[in-house]
Amino acid sequence: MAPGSATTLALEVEALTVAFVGRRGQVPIVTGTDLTLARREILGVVGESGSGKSLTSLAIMRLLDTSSVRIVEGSVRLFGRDLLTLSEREMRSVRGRDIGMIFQDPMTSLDPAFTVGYQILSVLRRHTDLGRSAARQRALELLALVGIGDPRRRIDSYPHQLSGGMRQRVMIAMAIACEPKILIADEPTTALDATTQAQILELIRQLADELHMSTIITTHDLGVVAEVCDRVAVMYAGQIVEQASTQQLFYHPKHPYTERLLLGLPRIGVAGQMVGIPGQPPRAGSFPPGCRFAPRCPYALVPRCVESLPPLRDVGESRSARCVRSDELSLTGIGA
Amino acid sequence: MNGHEAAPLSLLTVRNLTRAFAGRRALFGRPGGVVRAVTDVSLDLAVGQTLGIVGESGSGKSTLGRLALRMIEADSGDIQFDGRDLRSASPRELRRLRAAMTVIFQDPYSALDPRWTVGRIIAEPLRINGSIGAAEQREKIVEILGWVGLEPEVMNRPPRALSGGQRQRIVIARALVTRPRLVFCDEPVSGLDLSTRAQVLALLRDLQREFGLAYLFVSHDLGVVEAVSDRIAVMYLGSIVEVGSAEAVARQYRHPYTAALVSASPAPDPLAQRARSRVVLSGDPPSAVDVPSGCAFHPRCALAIPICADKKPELRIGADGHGVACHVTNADSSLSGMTLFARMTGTPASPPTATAALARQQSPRRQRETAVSGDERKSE
Repeated sequence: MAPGSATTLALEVEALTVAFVGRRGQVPIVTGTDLTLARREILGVVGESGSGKSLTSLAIMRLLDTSSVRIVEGSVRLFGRDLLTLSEREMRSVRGRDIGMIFQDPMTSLDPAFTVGYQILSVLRRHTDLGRSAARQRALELLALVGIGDPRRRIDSYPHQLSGGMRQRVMIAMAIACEPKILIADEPTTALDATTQAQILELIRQLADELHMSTIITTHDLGVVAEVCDRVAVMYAGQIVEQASTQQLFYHPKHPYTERLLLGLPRIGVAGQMVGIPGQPPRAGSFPPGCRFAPRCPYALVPRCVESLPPLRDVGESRSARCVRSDELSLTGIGA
Repeated sequence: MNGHEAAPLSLLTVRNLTRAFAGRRALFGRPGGVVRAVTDVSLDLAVGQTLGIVGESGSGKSTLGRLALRMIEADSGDIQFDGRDLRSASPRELRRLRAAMTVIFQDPYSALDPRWTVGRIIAEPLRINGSIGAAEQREKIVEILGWVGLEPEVMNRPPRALSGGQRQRIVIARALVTRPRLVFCDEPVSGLDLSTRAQVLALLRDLQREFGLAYLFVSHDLGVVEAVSDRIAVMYLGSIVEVGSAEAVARQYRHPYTAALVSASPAPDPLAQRARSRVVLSGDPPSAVDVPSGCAFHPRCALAIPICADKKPELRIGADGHGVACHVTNADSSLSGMTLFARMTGTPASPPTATAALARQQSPRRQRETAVSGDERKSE
């Protein structure tokens, strides 16, 4: 899983900028995002709502609502092929076949009017040349693969007849139907209960492993990251502020925002108070000129941190942080 | 049953509370059965303390809170609030009591009327509870805004002009403006972002100390519940399966479902998280329409014995206030925390060490239990 050389990269996002496009011009929401996904790696993109994590994954799949939100700069390369230059028709065949997608809320992503089987079959028939009965056979296999008991009965169920966990399994079955190289899961467990969440994360990890998929999981939950991700990118106010391996990030954070997020987490069976972050994240359109976290950062220095936007700097061990003080600060991780 | 005698400073005492609803008829489906939302639940909440109620969706935790404050009526059972019998209170008396027991709802977006100003929203409980002068009302609002960390200027703004965290502060201000003694917090931070969640929890803690509030704190998140609670009750399908001090329930848990819940709650600690074995429950939680016989958890329980399917276990509370409703662990008091966990997963009872965790990390592919049948595996 060594990141770095071009041949091991499944996906490369470079200088991606996404902006609201309205009457008064462009308002950048995601700015200058660089992401790399190595083959067979599970990358977590973590951030709060409004941080731009979901927009980033939608932009990669080119599923933005282009009437209001557009990619204004950057490139997205899938095994070297730039997705942003493809026609919409070419892109349609990439989605589903090369990139599988799982969304937060399976109830709104599944069509309530059609059976589970019909929906999986339509994915298969769009992207493969399987005949009707072969496709149905494959759908049954997929349902079994995602851990749905009694697939012969469930294949004719409607989404509302299934529990939340089962619907998410059906979504996953659709996402992996064509054995995509890349799986993008946007908040895949947010709508689920804790015990169901554990099952679904386990399933995603297992399928990624067995089907040799490279996976991006966006989440607001650092617990999910700790559980399944090999590497993490932390987003704040439309930018990546830190990128590191999961262990480095949790035990030795290099950005004050990461540290503060970790201090704000409840930990079962571990004494100690959760510490909040004062204030609110800035909104798109009113980002401060300097470091976007500076107004809430306990380590911010004037004028160093507030004058100009710090770049995402290489801080060694193939990790990076967007903080001018990351070398001089000694930040607290989990278990410290 | 011992352990239920009210503590001297008990503010809320609930005994054998039960409520069933007529099930909703599924679209084009059969008419629904009876939803047994809350069955025979007893609990105590002392003055100035926090009782956390944790459970998954459908466990009846929010219904229990609503029943306890008589926001909805119970089928049977007793509720004593501050020494008064709440269930026999007249509508007029109840209205007066509403000032002393208030609610903080989950969703700060839908809990606030978008057409009203913040000032009017906060004043509403004061107006319902009797007439006070405009000047006095304003004074009270400004004071409570100060307590929740907001400037008096927000009074004239509509809620849409505020962020999620600020709205939740308004919801809290509205709940506290009448100076209640009991606040039912119904998933108060679930709708909030990471960085605002800890802020709001810290605020709730400070306000509790300042005003001597008792919280009935309902959440699906065991981590949050443990962080704020003095005592925790764990609910599963309408019944309390375990109750005790926050520390006892989170560390020396004695119910197999609590063990599963602790195990399922993702810890923000990658090494510990990946080293430990998990209690992975099979299947989905059954619905409250179709509560299994005996112990409702028995179909998913790794330790179930024949009696579990026949007889509902009694919640037995010990002298230390820790109690569990489980035939197996009640008979064997050595099963708690790590030993219970080890019995359920069939692993040694020692906590995972960092070395073991590292060894596991370095293995070529992580070995995991598989829920996928072997013949479905893809070849290399």
